[in-house]
Amino acid sequence: MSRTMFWEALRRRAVPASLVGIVCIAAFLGSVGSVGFMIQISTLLTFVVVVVGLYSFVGLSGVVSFGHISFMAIGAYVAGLLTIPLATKHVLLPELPGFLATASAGEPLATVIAGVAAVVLALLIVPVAMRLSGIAAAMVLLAVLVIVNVVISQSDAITGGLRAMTGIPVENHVSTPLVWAIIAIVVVFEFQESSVGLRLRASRDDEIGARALGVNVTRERSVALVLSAFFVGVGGSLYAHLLGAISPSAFYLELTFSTLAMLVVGGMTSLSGAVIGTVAIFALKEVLRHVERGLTLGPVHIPARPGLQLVGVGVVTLLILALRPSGITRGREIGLGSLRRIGSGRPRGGENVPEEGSLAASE
Amino acid sequence: MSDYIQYAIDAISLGGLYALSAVAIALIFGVMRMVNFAQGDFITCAGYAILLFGVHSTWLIIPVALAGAVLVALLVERAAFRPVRNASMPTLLIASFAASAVIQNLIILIAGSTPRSVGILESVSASFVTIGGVRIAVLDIVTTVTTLSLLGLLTVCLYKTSLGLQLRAAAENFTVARMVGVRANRIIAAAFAITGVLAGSAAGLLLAKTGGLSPTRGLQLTVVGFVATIIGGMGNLFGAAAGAYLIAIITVALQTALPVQIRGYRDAFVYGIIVLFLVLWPDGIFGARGTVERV
Repeated sequence: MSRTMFWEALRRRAVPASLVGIVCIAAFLGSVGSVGFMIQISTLLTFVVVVVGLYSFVGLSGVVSFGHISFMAIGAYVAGLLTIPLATKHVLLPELPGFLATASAGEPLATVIAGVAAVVLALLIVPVAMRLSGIAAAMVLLAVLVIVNVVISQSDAITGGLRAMTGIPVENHVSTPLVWAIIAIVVVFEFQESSVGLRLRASRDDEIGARALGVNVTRERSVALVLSAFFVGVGGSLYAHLLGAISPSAFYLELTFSTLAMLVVGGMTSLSGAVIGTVAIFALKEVLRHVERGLTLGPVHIPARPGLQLVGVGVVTLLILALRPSGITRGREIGLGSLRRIGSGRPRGGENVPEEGSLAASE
Repeated sequence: MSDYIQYAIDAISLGGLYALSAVAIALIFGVMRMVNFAQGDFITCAGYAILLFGVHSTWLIIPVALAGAVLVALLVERAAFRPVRNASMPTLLIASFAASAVIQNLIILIAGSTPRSVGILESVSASFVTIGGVRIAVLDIVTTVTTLSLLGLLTVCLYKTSLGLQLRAAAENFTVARMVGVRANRIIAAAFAITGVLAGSAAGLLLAKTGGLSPTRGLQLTVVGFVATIIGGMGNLFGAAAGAYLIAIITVALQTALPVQIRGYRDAFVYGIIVLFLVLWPDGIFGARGTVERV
């Protein structure tokens, strides 16, 4: 390896290193704070895993997915089924068929199996959805979300149906989500820099051009969907162990919207955007959640305002899309390399430069 | 035999409701290349407008529902969609998804999340007529007549008026349409006003049928509309309407054919079958025109 190649490799790795730094700082703050704060940080890190997973498909391929939360749901329910203590499971879900009634695993193993279960679902979707155009693929993924939601809601014997699946052992220390967040960041970064990742990004920026150069868009998107499903499934398991009780309605359009908002606000076309957007929207949601419940500031009482949280997230998302369409990070990666670019104001790839003379906002 | 006629009537009536949503989504996709996720929420808003003003007088319901939906549609277009009009397809998709979330949660903020019951046109929804031995709900007839005349009116508007010509030109090639004098803001606002009219009508029919209203009432119609539009071939209005009727037929058929124990899974089967249709016809059943970019 020549000297320049060494420095280049080091410079490149500054991106995941910075992002790992961010999640480590968050985890450190969480571990020294109160228990309540630690749970919030654990939830944040879980969302980092989910949104980084979402990014590895949506961000790299440019295909919007309304279906990834079904991977999360599958992960959550599989992990729940494996980790609820056998005695409790026998009481709560007496009609479980054979091997599900006796299957049991510790949380770390259950989380990996949850990811694998999500991969199995992704492999079922791939042959159908990935050869379609972007918008039709988005529709198929939405249909998957509906189908998975209906199946979970109706399979009372296995999932507890519309009632919550309860009794999942609560594991709210920051260490587990931190480890998974680091794994997700490192793996997805290496994927994005790999030849598959490069071809995928080429097809996102110019699908026809990429096809003309021999990129097999269907295959690259399929690989990305499978990888992405794994991490989102893992995130589902972590989420289930934070909540202790899960229900089908928790994994539907609301969560789909929140996670997409995190990705878009940070900047859909960079890994840094996924991480930073998650932190930003999570912080906003936490602040609004307190206001939503009602506050008493001295003599002033603000009554409870249900709905405020998502109105806030929605408005911020729309503002970002209108004013800074490539997100907080402008679609760039942070790290040592970005220091030089700061202030130059020149957007790198992924920026949506409106065509001159295309339909402008004003007449 | 009369059973089958009854199923056919159910499917046609349900399909009409779905078609109102699907055609609206296809119309906006045509001019803006955006799937309008907020279409169902326009329907919800019209429902709440009826709840707010018109519930006492039958004759007020129609103008209130239409005005409510058109107003919300124009407002959303101006506030949320105009600023992102030039953006890429993923951005537009997420913008409309965000707009939908904002509307739903604003309704929760203002009116609460408790489902309301709104009884409108009760005299109509409770009455039946018997034709040739088959008992037909008057509401099914009203729904079918309303949807078919709205779709007919829209066709006349698209093919016989200057506005329609401009809309079709804009759908064909927006930039060139502007060069020959189609005003961008005006034509997109007009398209949204039309979707508002369709949403207001859908709201009236939906409430007369079910009487229930909640902040997420319109969501299902958005999903069905989106799916129908893809199945029909993106941007093709006739395809979208046909797709909507197809979904309704599959839904009613499964509702009848599925054994009771697994009837709860109906929607999973409906969407599963629809996805299989896409395997056979990846560009939609009625062939997509202009969705594959030429270079």
